[in-house]
Amino acid sequence: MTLRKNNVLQEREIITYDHAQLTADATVILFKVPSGKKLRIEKATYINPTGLVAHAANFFNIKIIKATSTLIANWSTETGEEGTIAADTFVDLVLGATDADQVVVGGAASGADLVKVLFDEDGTATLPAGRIVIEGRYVH
Amino acid sequence: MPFVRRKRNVQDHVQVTFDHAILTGTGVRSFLDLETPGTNIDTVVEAIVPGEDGDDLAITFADGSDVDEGEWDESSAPELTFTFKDGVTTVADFEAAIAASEWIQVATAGTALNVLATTDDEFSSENLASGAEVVTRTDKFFKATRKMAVKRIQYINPTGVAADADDYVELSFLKNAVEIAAWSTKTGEEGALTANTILEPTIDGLLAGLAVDDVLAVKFLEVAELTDVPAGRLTVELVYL
Repeated sequence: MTLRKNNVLQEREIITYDHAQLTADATVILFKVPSGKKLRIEKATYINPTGLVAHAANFFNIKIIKATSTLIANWSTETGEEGTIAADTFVDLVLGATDADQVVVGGAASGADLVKVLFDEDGTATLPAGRIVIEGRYVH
Repeated sequence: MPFVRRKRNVQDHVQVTFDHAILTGTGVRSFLDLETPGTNIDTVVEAIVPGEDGDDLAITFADGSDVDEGEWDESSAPELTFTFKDGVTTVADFEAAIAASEWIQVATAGTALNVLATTDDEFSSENLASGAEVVTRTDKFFKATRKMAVKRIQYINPTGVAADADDYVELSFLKNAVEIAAWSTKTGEEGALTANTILEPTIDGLLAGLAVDDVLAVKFLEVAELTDVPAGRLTVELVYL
């Protein structure tokens, strides 16, 4: 295979995070976008070797956020939402509806330059150890 | 105004890192339920060393000993022989006799007071079976979201694993279920995982291309007595196509 000649080469970023088992809310800062750059999150995938079955009351909402709560992408195991995370199978987190929300601006105030993951627990759910892979590219 | 692509940088490469946890476990021991070829002897014996090689061990029970407790002989290993005294030697005697064996051990004790008898407990060269190496884990760590190719794989293990002819680990780097690179610490193969040293397994260039949704994984195969693979780090360099 050869490089696509008509494709303008992009500066890209892949951010990974392996989390331990969780039984409560947890927020982890994954990446700080360098000042002067803007990173657009285009994909976020998640894999859990054990999996987590959907539940109406006891569930986790895995959220990729910036600032305090601006949603970039998420997967909720609440019944009726994205649902079950099958064991050892990658799922694609659902990107937020607002295009601008997916762009993380380097140097932005109030933590808006940080890519974070929020494991938002409801009820008494336990999320076994898993892995997040976030893919983005720098834009103007 | 929509965001537009940044044209000045031409870095179409990305790196994916994966820190794997320690891998523990041993192979499965070969075993033989002696009650199957025998009758009164009902001990289950197993190879001391886990792994497929244990299946080469074979046990013969023969009548004819002048010693009440019977006699154990492993001088011709993997052919192992127990000679008993008809109507006198017991299961307990046999289990005591193999206590110092270098090859087998009691997996499940038999009925201690059972007495061994001619014909009933005579058999020849019965092999142990079901020994196995063990595939302990496959870790998926990346799913392609675009067409990509694996350009380079680097692996580092801060502790390391020595090369060995019998006790070794095989790392297979997989695209879906297809191996695209490998590293074995078996003597004569790629060799030791030298502590704190980056290794670069050779990639099969014909298989390095990734389609959307292809998954990369690393598979660990522990062989025989190797009891663990220390935690290590994998870095895969990818290029967009």
